[in-house]
Amino acid sequence: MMNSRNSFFIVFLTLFLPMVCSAEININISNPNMRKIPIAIPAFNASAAGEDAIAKKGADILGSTLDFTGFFKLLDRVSFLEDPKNFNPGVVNYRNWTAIGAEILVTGQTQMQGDTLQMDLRAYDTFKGNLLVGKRYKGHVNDLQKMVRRFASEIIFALTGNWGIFDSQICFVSTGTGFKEIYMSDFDGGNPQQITNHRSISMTPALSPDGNWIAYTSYMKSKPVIFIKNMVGGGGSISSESNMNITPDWVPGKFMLAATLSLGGSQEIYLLTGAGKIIKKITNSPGIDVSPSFSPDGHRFAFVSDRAGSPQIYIGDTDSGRADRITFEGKYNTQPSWSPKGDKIAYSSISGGQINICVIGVGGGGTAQLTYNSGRNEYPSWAPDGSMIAYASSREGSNRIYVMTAYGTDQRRLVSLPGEQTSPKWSARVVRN
Amino acid sequence: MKRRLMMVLALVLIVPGLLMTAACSKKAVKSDAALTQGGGDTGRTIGKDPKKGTGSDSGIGGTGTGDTMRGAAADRFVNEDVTFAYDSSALDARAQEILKFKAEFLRSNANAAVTIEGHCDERGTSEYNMALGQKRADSVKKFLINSGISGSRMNTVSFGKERALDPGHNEAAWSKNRRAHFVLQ
Repeated sequence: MMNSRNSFFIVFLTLFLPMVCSAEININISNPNMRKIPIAIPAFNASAAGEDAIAKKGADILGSTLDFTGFFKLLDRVSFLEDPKNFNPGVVNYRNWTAIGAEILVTGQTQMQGDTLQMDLRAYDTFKGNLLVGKRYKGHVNDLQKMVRRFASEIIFALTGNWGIFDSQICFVSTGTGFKEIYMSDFDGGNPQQITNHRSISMTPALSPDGNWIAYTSYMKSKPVIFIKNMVGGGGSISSESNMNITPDWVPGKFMLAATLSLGGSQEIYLLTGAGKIIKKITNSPGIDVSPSFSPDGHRFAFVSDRAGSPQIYIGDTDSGRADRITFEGKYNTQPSWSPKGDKIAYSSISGGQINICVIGVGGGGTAQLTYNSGRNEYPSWAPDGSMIAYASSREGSNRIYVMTAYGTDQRRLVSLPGEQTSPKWSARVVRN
Repeated sequence: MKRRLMMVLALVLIVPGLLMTAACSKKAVKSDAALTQGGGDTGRTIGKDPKKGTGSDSGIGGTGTGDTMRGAAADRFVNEDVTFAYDSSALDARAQEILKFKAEFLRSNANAAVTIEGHCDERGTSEYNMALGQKRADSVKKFLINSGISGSRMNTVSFGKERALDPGHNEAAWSKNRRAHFVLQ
């Protein structure tokens, strides 16, 4: 429905099987002191004179896409010793690239036929002198960005063993229309689209792991109820099992949600079917239990409880009902987000009148504060590969969506939209052709 | 504020309507229908069986002379919020005094049904404040039930920190915003 870009088609082929490599270039996203990898991306080589602009644009998009991750240091083209015009496809003078410090070189060859663009893209490990990955893409020229992002994902996969974030999306709340509505954008904030029009208060969106469903809370029915909508075919349900139905989160691997309901004078977390019907209660305390965020295996969930007198983060077990408190510093720790690798919880912490993003080990140790002295910083949400965290910050006045690496570096704003933006939730990687 | 004015206006228009007609029971039927459709206008589910056990004409039905007094009492009922300490749903002495008056009003206006809105100040995070607003509304409802008011006449809804009464960013504003607000149906 919302994704007209789904209709395009891309043909891609593996150009060469890369030599099975025990790559020395190794991106370890768990390493906070990771050195950025110097990468050279010359303008792609156009096969005809009129294609130069497209060829350069393709290389530029690839550069900015890879740069987004914080893994790479893009080398200035001015320093290059070789003119891309002289590239002989498949034959690379590696010394010309190691000499300027490049550890990865990406070359591209474009060929236009009417509106159809064909690109041969290759990434090389210049020090080992071999091909990391090579692909041929063919599609409508308007899908240049999509094709280039595909190749960027291939490079990330070759280096890290996972597919990265370029096929993920971020949903968030924006007030641009005068109402809190749900929006969705690409991973980098590009292509933002309004996906609700309730003209009410809509909040806390969550995409299902397969990307097909979105759940969120809205006051459209005069009390907070949970809308569960199919993003592909339309349709869905409304969950209004109590006076208050809030903070939905999807259970990995199942068509199932958890959310906070208020039944019998206590705010508890319940498991719900994908149609929003109660399966069972999974917390049990006299006060507030809210904001579930599931572990990757779906058996445990982080949540907020005031059972000890102030809001703190707990880890609950859906089967046994057991709950263990993990935050003990500060009097206001909320908004937990369980990392995709399973080892950490990001959360927001209020202390000394400031609200900042922190991470803590699932076992309770290793707390680190990631934002400092920069307005409100809240609503952390992990990227699907665990390398980055999206959040909302008021550091420039109004609330906006920001991202940073999992270690708090490279903090930057994502979207520039009218109104205020909050409550980002990063989706899993969803590939639709 | 404009909103307050609207509510007072609504009261002036609605309360006499409630007195004179059987509109309440009609409304109840409508709410039930909405409810069975799943996720209808369930914010009004207090209409479900509000009259159980309390004659439809008891209390405020007969007297024509009490209008001004009733108006003032009704004004006070909707305009006087119960306020809370930061991150708390406890009812202090002042809150309990106000609630005693609310209970009295509800006793002498046996047809009146009320929505108790729970609100929070802007400082906390929005999701927790949603739950906290509900906890505040529930705390008020519990006090009124203990004062003899039927739970079926009271509906609760939390607005978290979504609807500040005072847009200021200081304790004076925050203390007004941490409130339970009463809306007569």
